[in-house]
Amino acid sequence: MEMEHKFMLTDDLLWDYADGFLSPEETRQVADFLQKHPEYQARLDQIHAEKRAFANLPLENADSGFAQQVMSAWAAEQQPAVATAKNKGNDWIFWAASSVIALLVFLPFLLPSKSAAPAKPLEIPEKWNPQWELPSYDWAGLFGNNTTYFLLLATLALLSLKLLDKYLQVRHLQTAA
Amino acid sequence: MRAAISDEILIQQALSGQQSAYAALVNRYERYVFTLAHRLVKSREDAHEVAQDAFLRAFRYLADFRGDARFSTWLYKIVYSTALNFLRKQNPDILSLDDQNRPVALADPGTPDASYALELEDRNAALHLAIAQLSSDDAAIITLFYLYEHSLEEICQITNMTLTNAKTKLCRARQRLRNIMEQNPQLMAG
Repeated sequence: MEMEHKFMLTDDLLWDYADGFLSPEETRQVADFLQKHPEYQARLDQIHAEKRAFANLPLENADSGFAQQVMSAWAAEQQPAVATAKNKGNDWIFWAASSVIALLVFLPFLLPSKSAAPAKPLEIPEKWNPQWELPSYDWAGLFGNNTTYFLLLATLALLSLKLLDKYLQVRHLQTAA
Repeated sequence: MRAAISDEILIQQALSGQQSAYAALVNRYERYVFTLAHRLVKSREDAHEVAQDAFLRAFRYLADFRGDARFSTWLYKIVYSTALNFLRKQNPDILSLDDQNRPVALADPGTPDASYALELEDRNAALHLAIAQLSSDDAAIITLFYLYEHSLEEICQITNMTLTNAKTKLCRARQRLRNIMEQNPQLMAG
């Protein structure tokens, strides 16, 4: 009896009861109270009706064509990635050209120099001695040549442009994400 | 009768490159995302922008969805944060949607939406109007809990609130909604 005097049924408590937010003990207290005071049941029914009204609210419609707009935007966003993937097929041209130029530039380091001190000839049996001479490279002639400098410069420029291109692609994808 | 393809399967198909799966996800959630966005930013035009942005963000990070929660919970979390970013851009003073000092945006009775609703004298339209007069976070939490039937725990995931905070907010939101309905007899008459 004393417990019931302390228990006060508020509207918020009824809402919490309807929403299932109360602890088992509180739920039991409210249920007992409602059983003893059926006049409050009407208010609980009203709360349930309001909850149903909330739940039955129709969803809003976006403007027609919204889904198409989203898909178009998504397709447009994916295009750089697709283009990058397609361009990858053409990368071999760049790398092949770069390799040829790099080979040209580094060839002097791979071949013996004419100006180098003559090494002691190996004693190879005559029959094994090749009848042809190893190719040699004219270092002074190479570095005194403007074409070499031009090719070196062009290679560096190409590689720089390629690096810049890659950087911009990555940055664009990160920004898009 | 064909059973609807589950979200998980659609996600797998989308991640494997099927554009139709992305489109199916948009079609499935378009109205939910738009409704939530509209509740948050209060304008249809802005809601379109936020909803589209939210879908695009979701698609970009789709591979990060691990299935720990429902896809809808994950998607609404993106909508919520996208709307918050949108509102911050418009007003840098907004730190969160949980800003109680921010004035409640009242629905303009002169807008076509409002007049249309009053003309209809429909309870749903009246409820829409009443919800539109709630603050963004109140409107969102009412929508998520009662309309989308998300649990408090899921709402916490979406809004980054604590459980106690979410519960308090929901109680406060429904109290405010009731006050609005009582203060506007035309809404109660609906």
